[in-house]
Amino acid sequence: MERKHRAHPPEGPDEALWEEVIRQHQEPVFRLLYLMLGDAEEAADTAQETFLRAFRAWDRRDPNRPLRPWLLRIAVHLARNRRRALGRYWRALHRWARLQGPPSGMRDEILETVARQEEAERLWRAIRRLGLMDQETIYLRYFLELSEAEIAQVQNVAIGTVKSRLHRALHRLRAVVEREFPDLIGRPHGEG
Amino acid sequence: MEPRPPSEWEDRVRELARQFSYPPAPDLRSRIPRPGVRRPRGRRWAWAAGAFGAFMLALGILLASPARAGLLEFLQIGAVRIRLQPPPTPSKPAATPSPASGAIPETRMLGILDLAGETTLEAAQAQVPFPIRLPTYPPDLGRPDHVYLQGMGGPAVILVWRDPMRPDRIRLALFEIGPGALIEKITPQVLTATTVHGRPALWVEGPYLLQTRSGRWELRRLVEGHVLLWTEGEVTFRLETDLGMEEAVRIAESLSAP
Repeated sequence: MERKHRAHPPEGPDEALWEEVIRQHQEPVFRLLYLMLGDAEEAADTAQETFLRAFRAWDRRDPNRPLRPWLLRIAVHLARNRRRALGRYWRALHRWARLQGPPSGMRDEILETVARQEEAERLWRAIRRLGLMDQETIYLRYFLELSEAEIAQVQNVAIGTVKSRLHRALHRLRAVVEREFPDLIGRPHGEG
Repeated sequence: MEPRPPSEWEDRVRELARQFSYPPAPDLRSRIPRPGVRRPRGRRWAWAAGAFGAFMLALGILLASPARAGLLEFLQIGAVRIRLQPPPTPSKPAATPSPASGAIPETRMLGILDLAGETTLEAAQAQVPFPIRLPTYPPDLGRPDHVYLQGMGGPAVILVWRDPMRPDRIRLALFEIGPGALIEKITPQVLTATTVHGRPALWVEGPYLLQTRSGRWELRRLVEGHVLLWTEGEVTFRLETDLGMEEAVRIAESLSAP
């Protein structure tokens, strides 16, 4: 990779590389943020902010490490802050007001999700009863399907800590599901 | 490096997670400035600060327009989603509950006193992760006559007061709905923007169908009265009453821990 040298930081990647970085990683970043924030517009805004931060911090990343965990780490950091900063109420207003814009297939998609993917949707609801760290760990492992080593990079902890977190999170999730969504346990898949 | 064999439960979580339907990811390449171009900071916060004004203004426009159903499909306040168009397969409300058949999804028509999960205030409080609050207005209201604990995809408590002069009538029903729940109203007749403690709230006039999900069941109930909706923190409040909006707001603003 060859980069131009300019006098003013941040230098960042060149345009072609930057486009490719966004193209390759925007979907997992968006998906993680959607899971954590529960709102597609909020997730899109935060994904945008993630890449802006990544661009500014580009020269400080470790080029020997894979890019995706680094990007997801920025996304997780932003999502944690956003969840603290914005109440659920503002997000609802945000979402509603934005829906008045040009027609978008996203609305249909949301409604379809509610109707069609009820099981997975209810698992998501169960996950959202857990503590934030449990939620984050489950999303990374089972929804984004990161390895434990990659999660360790995202969360900046030892791999043993990830294993413990996963174990505890699954245990707590099972307790919530048994109590409130018992039909989610062990039902065969695909019966519609 | 996976020393633990995956458990059945872990496999189940993975399987369900793979079924999850995400909204389509936006193409951020068109939204993110090219290298060297800085996005102005604070734009989003400015937008958020204007959201309340937009909410009130747009809601006024929305309600005034006969073509409102063409503008958007639903709006949401906290855990309550209000459909502005009829559902794709409308069903007529029935006056009596229909028997359960076990099918998924099954629709049941209920009166509020038909709800399952009746319990005591103390038992309900032990089950939900938020403090249950009671109105202190009107002063003669007292404790609720019925308390129901419901799983609407999230914990919800329903408090019901009967009319002392006509015990067959409901004086007041207060839903306190925790995070994760979702209930839907369908095509209410009148929507009005108001405030509770200075924060935006919605006043909804019936009749309309109230649709909730509880486990494997889809429940529908014909609501004849009016409803005030507002949120405080993670909890959504839904006050159902025959009273007018001002009285409902007064009741809403009187809530306190018992």
